[in-house]
Amino acid sequence: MNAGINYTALGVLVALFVLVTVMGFWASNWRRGEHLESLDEWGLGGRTFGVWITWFLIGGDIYTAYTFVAVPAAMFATGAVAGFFAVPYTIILYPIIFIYMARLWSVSYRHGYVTSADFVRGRYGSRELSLAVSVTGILATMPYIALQLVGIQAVLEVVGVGGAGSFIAKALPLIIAFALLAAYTHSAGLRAPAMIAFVKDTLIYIVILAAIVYLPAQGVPLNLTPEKALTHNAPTPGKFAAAAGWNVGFVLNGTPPKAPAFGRLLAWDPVKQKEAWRVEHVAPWNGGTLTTAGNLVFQGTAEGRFVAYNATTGEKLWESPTGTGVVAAASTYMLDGEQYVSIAVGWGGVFGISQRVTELQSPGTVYTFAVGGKAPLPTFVKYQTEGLLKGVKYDPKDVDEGTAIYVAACAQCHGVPGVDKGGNVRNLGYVSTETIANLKDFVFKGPFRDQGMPDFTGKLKEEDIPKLQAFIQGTADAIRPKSN
Amino acid sequence: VGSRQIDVGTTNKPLMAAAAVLLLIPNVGLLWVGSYARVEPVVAGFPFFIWYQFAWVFLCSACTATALRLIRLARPRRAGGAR
Repeated sequence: MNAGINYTALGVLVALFVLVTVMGFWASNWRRGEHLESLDEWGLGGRTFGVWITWFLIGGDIYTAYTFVAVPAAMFATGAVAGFFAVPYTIILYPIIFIYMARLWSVSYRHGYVTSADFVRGRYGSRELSLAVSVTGILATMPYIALQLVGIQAVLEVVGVGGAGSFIAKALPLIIAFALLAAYTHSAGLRAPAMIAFVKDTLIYIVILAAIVYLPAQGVPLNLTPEKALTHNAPTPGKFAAAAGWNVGFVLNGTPPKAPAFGRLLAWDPVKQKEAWRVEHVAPWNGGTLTTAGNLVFQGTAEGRFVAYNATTGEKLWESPTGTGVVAAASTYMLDGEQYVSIAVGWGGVFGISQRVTELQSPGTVYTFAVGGKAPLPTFVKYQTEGLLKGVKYDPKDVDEGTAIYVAACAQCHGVPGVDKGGNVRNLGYVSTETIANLKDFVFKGPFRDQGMPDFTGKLKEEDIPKLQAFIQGTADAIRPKSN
Repeated sequence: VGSRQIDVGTTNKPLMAAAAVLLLIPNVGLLWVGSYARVEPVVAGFPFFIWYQFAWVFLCSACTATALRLIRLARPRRAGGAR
């Protein structure tokens, strides 16, 4: 997190802070009344703010650290719907205050009340009640001020100031900022926040425009938030791939893609700077291309075909099955006047670990083709996706906990049991009952360690195994067609 | 308590009632959560729950602004009256 000082951000912050501070001190002379020392002047700006200034002041008061820190944090922690109460609440506030605020204003104006405590004292003649209202007001404001301080602290940390080190180093920028805020508010009263509200509201509009126009226009499907509490390889339940070492100190805030994953071969005309033709594939993760002087384009596909296209039009001229998905590009060469095209077929890569598109799983093979070639293709091996796992005993109560552990330790490579087909790594919904029943022997110092499966010793505990078994068998049972 | 001001002219009660209804509508529309706690119809990718509430920002402004105008019509200006 603490990657040093961000000088651009710090420069913007300091410039705005200087502007606001100068305005704050200058505000004590703004629309100055005759009785400078009265509480009316200090606390209510001489009651001379019209609709326009009040509009800005209320805007600046409502949309604060509460809007930008507290509500988004609550929504991040508990879900968007849970945090959305702030919207209807802020809306219906207006018809409600419409009814009594105008009345409160005119009564207070006539009697010279400044605070709600003055109003209560005037109405009920009770000094105690008035004091209780004052004290309640002060106490109720405390957590709000604390939130402002947290907000300022967060801003300072983002620009790289006051984030670490001793308590003094951490708190000093905050103390300076708050002392200046307090000083100009003391000298200018409500005039300072009213004047600064113009700056603040302008900044809020910039933030809104950035949030709803600039950021979405960046088209970022996945953003990363630094994760302060990271422990490398910690098998945090529910955190995707955490136990498999795929945690890099960032939280992936992924948004699901709007369109399903697709694959296509696209021919680009570099002179016209536009597409010449395209071929849609059934899946992503297809092979690289080979383009020849004879005006051909060769490509292998994820679903196990090797295809030649007319390079000008994209018309398919020839194809051969390959028995497995193709990731590599082909190559071509001439030997004794004979032209050959060779392709290394075989499935793999990040996508290929847990996903497949073919129903075949022939081994990785190099095929060489020539015009007039007569060698027959081998018999292809069918991939086992029949026989959904059954018969592993489990306690349904363990499924929830098992889900979180599976997500952290297994899902990255094994996919969702019975739902995904399995790639180079088997899908656990289609392995033998004995395999899952003896899951412990595979997870701890298991036989697949030399093929790349991590040893989960020290990351998972023995009592996690029945929970994993509950999730794997439970999921297979849940997706099993009812008629079987 | 408080010095009552003398009305110049009488208050138009039906107009005041209309203003009260206008102020009540947003409260009903938003506090009756069950009426909008659903996903469909989705508009521009936003579930109904979200855009319905956001629409009330503008609807409520229209309600309060209209209520203000009605009240000003219903009650002829009072001397020294606050607005």
